[in-house]
Amino acid sequence: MNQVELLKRFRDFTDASLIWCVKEAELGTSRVTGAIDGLLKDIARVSAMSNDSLKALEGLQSMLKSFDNSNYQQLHKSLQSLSHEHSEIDRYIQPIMEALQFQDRFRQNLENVVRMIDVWQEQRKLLGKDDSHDDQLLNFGNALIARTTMKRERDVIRAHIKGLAPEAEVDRVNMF
Amino acid sequence: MGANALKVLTPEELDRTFLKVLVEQCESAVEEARQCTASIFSLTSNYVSQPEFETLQQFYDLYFGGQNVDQKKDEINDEVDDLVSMLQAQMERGEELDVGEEDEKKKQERLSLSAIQKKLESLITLDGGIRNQILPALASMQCEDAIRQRVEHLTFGWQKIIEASFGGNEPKDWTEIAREIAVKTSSVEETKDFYEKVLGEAAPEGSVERSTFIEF
Repeated sequence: MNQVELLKRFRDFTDASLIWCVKEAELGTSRVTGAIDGLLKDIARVSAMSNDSLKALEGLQSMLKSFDNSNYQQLHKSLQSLSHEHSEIDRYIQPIMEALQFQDRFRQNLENVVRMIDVWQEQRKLLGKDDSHDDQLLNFGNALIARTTMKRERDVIRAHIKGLAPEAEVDRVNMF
Repeated sequence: MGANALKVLTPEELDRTFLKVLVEQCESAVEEARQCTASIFSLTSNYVSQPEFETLQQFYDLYFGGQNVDQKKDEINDEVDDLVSMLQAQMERGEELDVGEEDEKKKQERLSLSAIQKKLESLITLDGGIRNQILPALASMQCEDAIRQRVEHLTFGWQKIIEASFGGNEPKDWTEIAREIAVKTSSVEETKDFYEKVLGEAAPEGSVERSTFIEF
């Protein structure tokens, strides 16, 4: 096997491995519903709750059960309004919102890592062939930044490639 | 300190810069996974009683506190084996049995690990209700562990490939590098995937066993 073949094959393995990680993390939603199951079975706690809050909690559970990854934004809005309307269950809703937020950021992060690997391998092929007068490192940095969706990812790139334009005042709209 | 912006980029500068970016992006992702577990723990703390939750938290801290539990368990088992061999030898020689003095730090580690595991296992096996309550947190912890391992193996692999390019002894056959990376894989699925996708062959038998930190 030569180096180019290994780079290509290990890239494909990285892709498969990160997809596996994303799927594992997505199971997080079922862990959250499992936690709410536990909460609803806690008789002492449930009996101390108002009917409204209890209904809201049950509604939350069915919302999570029917949730798929394409409607994160809708779920987030629903959780926020539940949190405003039922302060009694707010302490349950907040960690759920956080867990889903981290899960979504994790997914974005790993998906973008594979995109960045592709940019790097593309740049490797171009080295030596590119006779333009552009700054190659800056071009590379900008190409990496174009594959990001979160400020934290861009901050990492800027920390290692000096001279890249700073973050624009108005940040991209992230789901969470 | 980041690389300086240069007009012409060498392959080594490109690869080393990218490796730093890649490793940090992966670390960020693992941090998101850690925070996700922390949120599930926080949710769990709302309905699990304090002593049980503390046990769970202690187990988490112990597990991710540095070395993993398997490594600690192996060290402790090795020490116990040594102790038993020493006592057997003393018996055979007809001597009075003397275990000597155990290192205090190691003793504390042994006691804390076994005590927490025992407590956790008893919670899981003896009380069906509590088992169901702490299951989401345990599952989240197990997921975090699996993700950490996968991501670590990937960064190790990329580091290995990039370092091999610039160490002065560029390999003639990169299969050897791939085999060095293969040793790192641990789960059945990961090892199988690696052998098929990278080496183009089936994973050797017996190389695809990964221990889980706790059965539940």
